[in-house]
Amino acid sequence: MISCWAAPAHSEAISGSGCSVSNVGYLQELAKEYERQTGGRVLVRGGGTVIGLEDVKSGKVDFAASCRKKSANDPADIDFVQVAWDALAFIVHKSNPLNDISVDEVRAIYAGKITNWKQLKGKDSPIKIFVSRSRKGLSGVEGSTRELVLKGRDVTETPHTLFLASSAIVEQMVEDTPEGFATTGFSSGRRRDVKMLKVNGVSPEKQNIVNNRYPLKRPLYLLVPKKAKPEVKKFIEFALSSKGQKFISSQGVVSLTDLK
Amino acid sequence: MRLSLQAKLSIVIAVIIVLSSGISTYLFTAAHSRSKKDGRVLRGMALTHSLSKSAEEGLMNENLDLLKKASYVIKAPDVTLAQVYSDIWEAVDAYPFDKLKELPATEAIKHFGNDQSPFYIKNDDNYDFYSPVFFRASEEASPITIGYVRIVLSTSDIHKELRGMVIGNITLSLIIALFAVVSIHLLVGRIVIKPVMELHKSVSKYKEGGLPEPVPVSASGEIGELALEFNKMSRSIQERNAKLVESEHKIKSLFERVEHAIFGLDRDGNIIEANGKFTEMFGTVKNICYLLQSEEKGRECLFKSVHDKVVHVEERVTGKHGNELVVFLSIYPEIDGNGNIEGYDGYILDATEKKKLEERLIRSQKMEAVGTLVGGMAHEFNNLLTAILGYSEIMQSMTMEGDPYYKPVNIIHQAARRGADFGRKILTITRKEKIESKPVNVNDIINNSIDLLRRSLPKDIEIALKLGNDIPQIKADPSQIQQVIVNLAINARDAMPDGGKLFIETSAVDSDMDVPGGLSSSEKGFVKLSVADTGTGIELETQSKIFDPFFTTKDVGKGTGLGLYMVHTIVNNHGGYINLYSEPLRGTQFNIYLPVSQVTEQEEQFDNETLKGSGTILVIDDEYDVRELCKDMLGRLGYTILLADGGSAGIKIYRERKDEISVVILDMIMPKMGGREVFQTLKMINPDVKVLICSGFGQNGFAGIEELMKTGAVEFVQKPFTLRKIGLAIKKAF
Repeated sequence: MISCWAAPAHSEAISGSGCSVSNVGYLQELAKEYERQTGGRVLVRGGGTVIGLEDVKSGKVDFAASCRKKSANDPADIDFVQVAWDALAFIVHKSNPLNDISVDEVRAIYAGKITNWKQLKGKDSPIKIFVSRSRKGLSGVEGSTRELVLKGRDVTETPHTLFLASSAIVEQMVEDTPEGFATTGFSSGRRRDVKMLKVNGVSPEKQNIVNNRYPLKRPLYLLVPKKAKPEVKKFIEFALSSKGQKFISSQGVVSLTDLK
Repeated sequence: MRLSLQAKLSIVIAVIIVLSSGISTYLFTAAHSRSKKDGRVLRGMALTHSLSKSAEEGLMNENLDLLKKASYVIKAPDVTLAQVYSDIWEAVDAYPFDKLKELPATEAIKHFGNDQSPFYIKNDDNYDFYSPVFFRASEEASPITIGYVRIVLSTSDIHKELRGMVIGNITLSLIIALFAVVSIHLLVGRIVIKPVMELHKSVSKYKEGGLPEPVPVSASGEIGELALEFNKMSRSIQERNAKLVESEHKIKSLFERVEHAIFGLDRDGNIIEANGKFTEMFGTVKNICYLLQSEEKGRECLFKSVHDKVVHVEERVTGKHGNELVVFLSIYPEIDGNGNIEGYDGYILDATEKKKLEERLIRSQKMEAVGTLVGGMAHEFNNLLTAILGYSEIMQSMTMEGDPYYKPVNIIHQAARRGADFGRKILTITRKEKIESKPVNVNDIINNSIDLLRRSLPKDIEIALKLGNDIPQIKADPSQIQQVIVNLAINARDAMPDGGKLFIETSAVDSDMDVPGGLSSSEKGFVKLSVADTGTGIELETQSKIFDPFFTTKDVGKGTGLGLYMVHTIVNNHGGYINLYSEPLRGTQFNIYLPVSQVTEQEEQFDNETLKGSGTILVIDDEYDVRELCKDMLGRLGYTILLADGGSAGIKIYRERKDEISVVILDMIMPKMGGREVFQTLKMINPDVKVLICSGFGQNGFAGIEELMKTGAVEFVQKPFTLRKIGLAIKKAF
């Protein structure tokens, strides 16, 4: 990959960072596709919504990705442009016998009421909760979870709660932790070696999201400063174009057009 | 607290070793620590850089395996924490993972706020390294920081190593110090302490009165030299001591050997030290004053010695057996620096024997004086008797029995003979008479005298003889010895008025036997003749005077006072000695020692017929009677007689008729010209002149006869002489 980045570019490359769900779910592939189709180089990395916002604010990157909507604390000169849909997914280790979970049960876990897998008819082991949280701002997944699952309340910290820098890291932790539990985005989760639990009997699949059988749907944004370089705007336009949307959809992510 | 030399040295050496070891350890560990820490910084930088390179891709892709790629970093033993942060300092990964929540140091966050160079913080037990993770969009693009890596390197191993080093060094230095201390202790003990203690021991021994003994020279150097010098010194002390002991021994030996009785006294005169002679003389007397005749006299002596610094006195003291001794006593006071009397010392010389000898000398001088007087008288007497005896003898031959002159002549002759006998006795006691000595046996003399004694002694006095066998012969005049025996027997008789026992004993006494003082030794020994009685005994005061002439305890008319004087003189004339032991009421014993004769000579016997001869004889005598007697007596024997009445006349005649004259009869005592002068003149005229000395004095007297006999006189004839005597002498001269 490094050799790829080191390849000569036709024009000045642009960079972006941010939401890991977006990054893993579609953005990296979209950037490659963009380069293939237009020759413009776009380098993206994850790090989480908060990093993306910070990078953009400090000018480190040209644009960012986010999986939460704009909040009051976010700078006004940055536009939140939706490019796809996503849904919150609850993931456990592949070896976990649990397949289904209700939103109430999730809420009870985050409230510290359910702490052991045996309360969910699983093994007798504590539930290790991984949460993506940043000190510098509201994380994409945590923001979505608070809004869609916890009815505006915060995650209650237990001895088995571990806060991590981004969703990508959270997902990788669950991959490696048999007792792990986390909430992430469907778009990136499906690419991980984890088990995505059915919610209220509905499995998180693209079709179920599209037809609204699976709940907890949410938008994915690209954040663009109002004074962005033309190359950035050009890339955004590509993403929103039918070609771009088609490509996003081809990556298993619910595109804007999929839901129309 | 007193520390021994070993302890002091050991402490100093130990302190030096520990201090130097401490300083060197400090310097070394400081340098080592610095270099270790510098190395640790470089290593930390390198590790952090390496980790940041690995983290770059992981952060880009949000791949949690990013740290695992740098396993060589995170598994390094000194790495206690490896951490990857996002660019907003949120922990992305950590090794070990449970330290994920560890927050970065605020200094680091602050540092990277305006600087993107690597950074580290030195903590007490670790170094905290930080390095940014760069991402470069293109080669031209400026790098952006996408995160940070952090590595915490423990420095506790350095500390541990240093601590180990310090402990090791301290332990080593303590061991070395201990070893050094032990070595020094042993070495100092061996090289210094042991030899010094040997010296000390020897010196202590010397201090306690012993002799310093040479010590073994085990060390070299100063200690060895000290030991050598000490040994020289102790040898010299030993030699000096040996000399001292020898000298003391000599003095002690001398002290014990001398004839002086040496003593030491305290201030009261008590005897605190005395030699063997003293004890021999006085036994164990306590105070010097007790020896003297009175204690006051003793005190006086001591006082006088202090006053005069010394006192020399002649004293009569009491001996061990209560006997009286005459001694010379010398006392020296011992006075200290302040003039106080500390005591006395001095000596006593026994002068008893010397005193006796002195008394004897005085006595013999007294007797000599008497002898001279009596001798002079006897000389005159003898001259008279010579004529009377000679002519009465001639007249005897001219008369026959029945002749009217026969009886008177005989009476005259006998009276003259008695007179001659008496004169001879007088001369005997004055030693002026020649002893007619011949070899005799004392036992024979006693046996011959026994009848005379029995007749002389009363019946109530028993005579007991105890005559020794094998009594050697002595050279003596038998009649004089008989006189001695008779005189002593008469003395015994007078001492036993109520009867008693008279013992006469003889025995041989060896020459080496202890004979009474003053007696000249005799090669062949002595014959001891003892005459003892059971009579009244003699008082001590009387004993010293008993041999004096004319001393008598008998009533006037009963004793002449010449009996024991005669005995004494006879014995002396025979070269012998007499002493006596007497106890009042028990008896008296006289012991006479007579020297055994050197040669036994047989006296020539002459027949009366052989007296006859022929030839011319010159008679030189100032006495007319003697001249005439010689002419008549010798004419009868057939000789031609020439007479000269003095020395000059005689010389004249001899010069004229020397070829004719065969023998000269020369009187010794003559007026004008003495016999000696005449004799010498005659010798000048004819060196072979035969001179017969004739004198009224004895041969051993002081008339110089003996001297003439030695220078050529052929014979000596004692006046008064008989025909036989003179005839024999002339025969001998021819």
